Amino acid sequence: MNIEELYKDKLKNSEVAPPDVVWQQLSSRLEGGVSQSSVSEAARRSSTSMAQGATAMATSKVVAVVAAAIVAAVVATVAVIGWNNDNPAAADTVVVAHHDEDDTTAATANIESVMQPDVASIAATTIFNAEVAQAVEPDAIVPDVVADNTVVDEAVYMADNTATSVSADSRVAETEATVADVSVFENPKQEQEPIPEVLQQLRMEEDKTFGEIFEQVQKIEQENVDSLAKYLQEMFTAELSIPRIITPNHDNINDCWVIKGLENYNNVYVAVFSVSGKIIFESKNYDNTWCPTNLPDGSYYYNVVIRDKNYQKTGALLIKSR
Amino acid sequence: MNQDMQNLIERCAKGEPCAQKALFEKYKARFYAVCLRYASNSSEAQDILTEGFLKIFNSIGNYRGDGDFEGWMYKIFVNQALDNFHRTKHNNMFVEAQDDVHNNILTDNNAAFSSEEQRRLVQYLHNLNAKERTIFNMVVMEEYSILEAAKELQVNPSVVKTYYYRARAKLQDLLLQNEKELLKEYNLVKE
Repeated sequence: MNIEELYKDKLKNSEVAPPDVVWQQLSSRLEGGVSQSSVSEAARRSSTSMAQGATAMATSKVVAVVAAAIVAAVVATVAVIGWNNDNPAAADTVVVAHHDEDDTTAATANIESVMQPDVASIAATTIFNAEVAQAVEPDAIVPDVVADNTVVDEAVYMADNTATSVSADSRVAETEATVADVSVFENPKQEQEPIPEVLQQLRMEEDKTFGEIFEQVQKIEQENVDSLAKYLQEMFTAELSIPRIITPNHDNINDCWVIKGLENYNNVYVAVFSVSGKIIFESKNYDNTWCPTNLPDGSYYYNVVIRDKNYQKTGALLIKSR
Repeated sequence: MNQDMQNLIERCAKGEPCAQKALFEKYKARFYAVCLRYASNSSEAQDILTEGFLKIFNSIGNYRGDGDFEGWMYKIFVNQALDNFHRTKHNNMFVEAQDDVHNNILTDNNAAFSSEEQRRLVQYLHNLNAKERTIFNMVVMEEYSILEAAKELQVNPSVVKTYYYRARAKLQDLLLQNEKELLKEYNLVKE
């Protein structure tokens, strides 16, 4: 149906009288010397209309947060259902996560607080979201942590630093409350005249597509968070205690460079450099048996890498034999 | 262009307030209608109108009396409307489904239409979201091509097409619902 002609015909030469206030504003701007003020006026105008739009935006952002929460809750529920029993390692992390959850939620919904390694809780989310195939005991703790953490993350991402902070206590209640509010999201024009069935369906399909795209974006974002969290987790959970001084004077005290915690990992690579950068010692699978006897005293540098854990540490090593 | 008009333009270029007011009074209704088409409500339209006239008075000194003065002004207003769109577009991201419902042009006293039919048609435009409305205006009323519109808005032509078809579909629905007579007039529905 070609409505273009209809619109062109009817509106091409239409005239509409503006209110008198327009001339008042215009003339005062003209008197005031226009070229400078028009720029700032434009800024003022845009901030006015932004303020207008902000209220609407805030409302719809809340709605969007709600929608995100719904999506997240659904995803989380599906994940929970798929779990079986018995994976003790994950169960431990569950406990840890629950402790740290309070820390996470105490911080305001701020992207920074998520990105800082409150790692355990981030890691917990990682484990829940990424390793669905593995099992976790579906005890009472689990659904809370999953739903709550996911909701916080989604809310943080959606709200973009301006969302309301979500307290741990009210979160479950909030999730339930928001379920009832879905109808607002799906029928935004309820207060107007009833819209024909067809149009309503079309609109819902549009919303559904939008929702699907939205979900995918969420998924991608979550995957990014997950991989980062995994990386951080591995960084932080690889714990080695690397001595900074050794005294190779045959007193059997600190004669050798003994790295504590080494036994927990395979293929720990170490390298020791002189100040000039020359490699003094290197081992692809260090076993704490390096006891230098002929090296001059002084400062050296070490580099320890655990490839599997993406762990790397460099530091100074002082050799003092007198 | 006749001599009176020429004089008026010269006096405006000199900054004579009388002349500026005269020019404003002569063309305000014509261009307010344009602004209303682009804006989402009458106060936004008034903003565009004010800014547009300011631009005109600022640069009327540069106008070489060669040809279509009204067309020259018209372009300024369309550009002003597009500027306004770019500025407020980021705020509209989450308000896709509807614009500010409170400013309904059907009941707005700040817009004195000469015909109720036109008022209703503009209201249907306001039912679209900002992107759809802008693109529909550009393509249909200003007769941009899809490519030209894409360049102007700095988006992919497929984006322009999408929004254009969406706008048209929505307007078709609204017209089907409310303007059977009008559609018959244009042979767009069967009797």
